[in-house]
Amino acid sequence: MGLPFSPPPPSPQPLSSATPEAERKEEGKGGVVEREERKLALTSPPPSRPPVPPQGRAAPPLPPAPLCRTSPSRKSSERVAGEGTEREKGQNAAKKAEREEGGEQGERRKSKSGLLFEQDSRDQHQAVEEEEEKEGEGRGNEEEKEDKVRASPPCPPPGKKPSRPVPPPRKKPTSPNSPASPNQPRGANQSAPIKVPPASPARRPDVSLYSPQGGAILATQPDSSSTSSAEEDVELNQELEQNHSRLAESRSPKAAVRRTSTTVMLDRARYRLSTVLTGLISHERRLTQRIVELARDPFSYFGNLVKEHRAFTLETMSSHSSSTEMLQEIRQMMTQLKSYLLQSTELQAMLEPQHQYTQDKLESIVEAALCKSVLKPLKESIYQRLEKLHTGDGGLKQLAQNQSVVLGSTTTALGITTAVPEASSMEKISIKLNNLHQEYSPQKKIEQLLKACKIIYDSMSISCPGRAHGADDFLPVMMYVLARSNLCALQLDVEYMMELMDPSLTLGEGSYYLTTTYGALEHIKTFDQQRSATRQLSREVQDSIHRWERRRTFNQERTSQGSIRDFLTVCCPEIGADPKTLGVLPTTTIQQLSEQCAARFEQDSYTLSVYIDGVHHPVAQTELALSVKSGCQPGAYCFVYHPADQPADAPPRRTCPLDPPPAPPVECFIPADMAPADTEEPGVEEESLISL
Amino acid sequence: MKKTYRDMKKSYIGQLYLCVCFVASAVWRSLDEDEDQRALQVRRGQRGSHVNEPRHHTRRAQASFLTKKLNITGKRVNLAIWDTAGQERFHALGPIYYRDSNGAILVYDITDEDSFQKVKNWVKELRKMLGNEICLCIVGNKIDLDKDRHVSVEEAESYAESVGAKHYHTSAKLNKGIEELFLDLCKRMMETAQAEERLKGNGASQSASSRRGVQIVDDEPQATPAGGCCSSG
Repeated sequence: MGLPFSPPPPSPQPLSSATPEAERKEEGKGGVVEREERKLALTSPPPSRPPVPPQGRAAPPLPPAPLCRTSPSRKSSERVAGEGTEREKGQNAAKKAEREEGGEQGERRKSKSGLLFEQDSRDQHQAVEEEEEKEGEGRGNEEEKEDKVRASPPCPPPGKKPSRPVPPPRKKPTSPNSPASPNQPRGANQSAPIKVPPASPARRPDVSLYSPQGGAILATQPDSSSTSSAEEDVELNQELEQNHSRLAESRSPKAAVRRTSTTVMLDRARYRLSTVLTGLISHERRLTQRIVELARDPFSYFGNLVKEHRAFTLETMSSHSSSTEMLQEIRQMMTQLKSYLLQSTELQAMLEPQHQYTQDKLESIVEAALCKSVLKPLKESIYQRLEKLHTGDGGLKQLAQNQSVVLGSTTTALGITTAVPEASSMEKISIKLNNLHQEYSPQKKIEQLLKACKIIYDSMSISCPGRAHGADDFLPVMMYVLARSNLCALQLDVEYMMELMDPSLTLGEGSYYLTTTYGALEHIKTFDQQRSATRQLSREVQDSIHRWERRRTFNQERTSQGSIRDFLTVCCPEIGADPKTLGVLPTTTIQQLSEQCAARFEQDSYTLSVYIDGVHHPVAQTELALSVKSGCQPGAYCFVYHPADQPADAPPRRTCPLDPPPAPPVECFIPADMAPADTEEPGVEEESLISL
Repeated sequence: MKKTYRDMKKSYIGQLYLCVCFVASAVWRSLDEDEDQRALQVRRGQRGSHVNEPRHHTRRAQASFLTKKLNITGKRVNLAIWDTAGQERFHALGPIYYRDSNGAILVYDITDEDSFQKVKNWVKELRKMLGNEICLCIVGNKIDLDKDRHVSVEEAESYAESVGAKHYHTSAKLNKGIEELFLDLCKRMMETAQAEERLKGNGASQSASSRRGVQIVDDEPQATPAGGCCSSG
């Protein structure tokens, strides 16, 4: 979608840039190296060289988090991440959350078997026990297969319910105990209620919605309420799985009801069906999973970038006075990470030759993976910040006030000419909107929104079937429906979706209904002052056009620079104290960086120095910050912003606490499937990978 | 054989994505007719593909968003058609719909002088907000009711010319002039977009600028039972 007239990214035009390149050579190697890298990545067939463990830059402040399964529900750990004002805490928790997410599939299965198991213990039903066994085995096999494909070092013998395959780098240093933990799930706290959490509060009403329709429908039709026949397989599969657990869930309260063998068989058939579907999409999922793992690997360049971006975002979040600005910056970074990844050797190394993806498919996979690794850990914080900003500017209050006005208006006053959704439809809609709120991925949120819209259309056409309803019919009904939902949450959701969605989807159906929802909300906001409202709204919306325009040019600028923003950690006033992450561009000079520091640390008179191995290292004001960074030895450098009069040779001669744990030999970091196939020109490659 | 990112990107240059937004339920409906068939096929063919998000088309129930594929001088063009709420009370929301569009279709009812005045207001607003980049179409609908015409052909056409728009005559009821309208608009939008590209030079301005949609705004007064005359279709 959204295919440009013009040829794609300007950056990789190797030939035309000959002269500028020559010029840039003097500027420092940052630029040159970057260009070369691009050339390599783009003109020559991508050498399937492994990503080189970044020599200098991986200065992960944290040792990898312990690997034990976090049993409290994902939600709570995310909340921790959100609150985490200290960066480390936040990161740590976020990582946990991520990891949990990573194992989602496994967990989901586990939960399923958990559910079954619980029932089993109640019913003493042998068949179920068997099935459960099989599930465990099946899972195990699948995992083994996966491991083989990745050709990573053999996992420790998985327990009956193995956890997600552990990425080699992390496994090594920390987690001798990890294989042990998966054996716990049989413990009491692993039973049914645990896993369902994110879905269950929303899902439960669904169950009640279904019950009047009779068990037969429930049993045979996968989510008949869900709208389109055109859902992606993934989703279908999820629905199936959810349905499955819902089925189990709906049964469990009636534990007294005896389970007949037919139901058990039905369960089994259902399970097999979902296995087949899983098989179909597993390649895609595996690729997504690998990207997520890469993004999580603090020793890879990409993972480091993601991590620093997160730290940067969390630190600077409160400094944004406008929500749009904040969200756009996050989206910006995601887009850059995406374009980096799509051109990177890291991704090329992950692709399996037997599975060709179209460019669009690949982009969507990368997008999904990035949502998971970038947005998911940030979601709670973003929402908190959004809420704070909109409470501050009175937007939410205004919305809440007018909500009651709209509620008190007749359908005629709202301009409704068709039927409005009945109670049962309203309930379904509110479930969809609730699901929407829970999702972290803008695309998935939009899917839920589309489902809600579909239900609205369906209810509208009850009064006059066959009539096509346009925006003039739909918008008033939308207002009617929204006024009966959680408006404030939706307001935040809409903003989240609009700013963070994949820009290539901005012309799609999802975008249209998102716009309509935005319009409905704006209209509700100004509803009671109809007359004067028009003008006022216009001005507001005009602003939004300007914002739009600005974003477009902004994006363009960034794209034409063809470079990804990088980050630097600076301490103040001495090594190891008060580290802050700053965003830098390849063109940022030390002087500009000092100015940034002055703003961030609120200290004008300080100066910026670089310490390498604890020794002060003079840097020229005109030097490029990134070339300094990439010129340093791994983890041995530290940028310090300190009072000017501090003697240069006085700093404590100790290693910077930000140093990464001693780097294990290179081989350990490289998953076997990324093994170097082509090792020529290692020097150039290495450098270029790092300083892109 | 592995395709690199660049290779894959290149193969798409022949395809444009434009976005149209329009309101005329009358025009809409006849378009909807031939669309139904296609939508079903697309749905089946593109399952799992993310480019076109999962479609949630219902037959006939929704007429707010539609995509239409056209083949113009060998280029595949995908129109995203956005229906703008044209009612007076929603007028203020217009910009959020048309802000990214490449074109707009403004439909008036030839039997209703007032609707023509409203088209003029829309034109003014669109020119002010989006400048000359946007292709405007002014469409006199209901030419099957020519005996009741209240807006003269000359007046409408000279007005259209004065504001740099093109004028079309359609009858949604008889399905007359609509296909031509879309083809012609589409060509114009492509020309405009390409000229814009050339202006910016060396194609450096990637997707951003060209990713505007084509939008069509109609101002057929709600009171006019537009649906009445066409719902038979």
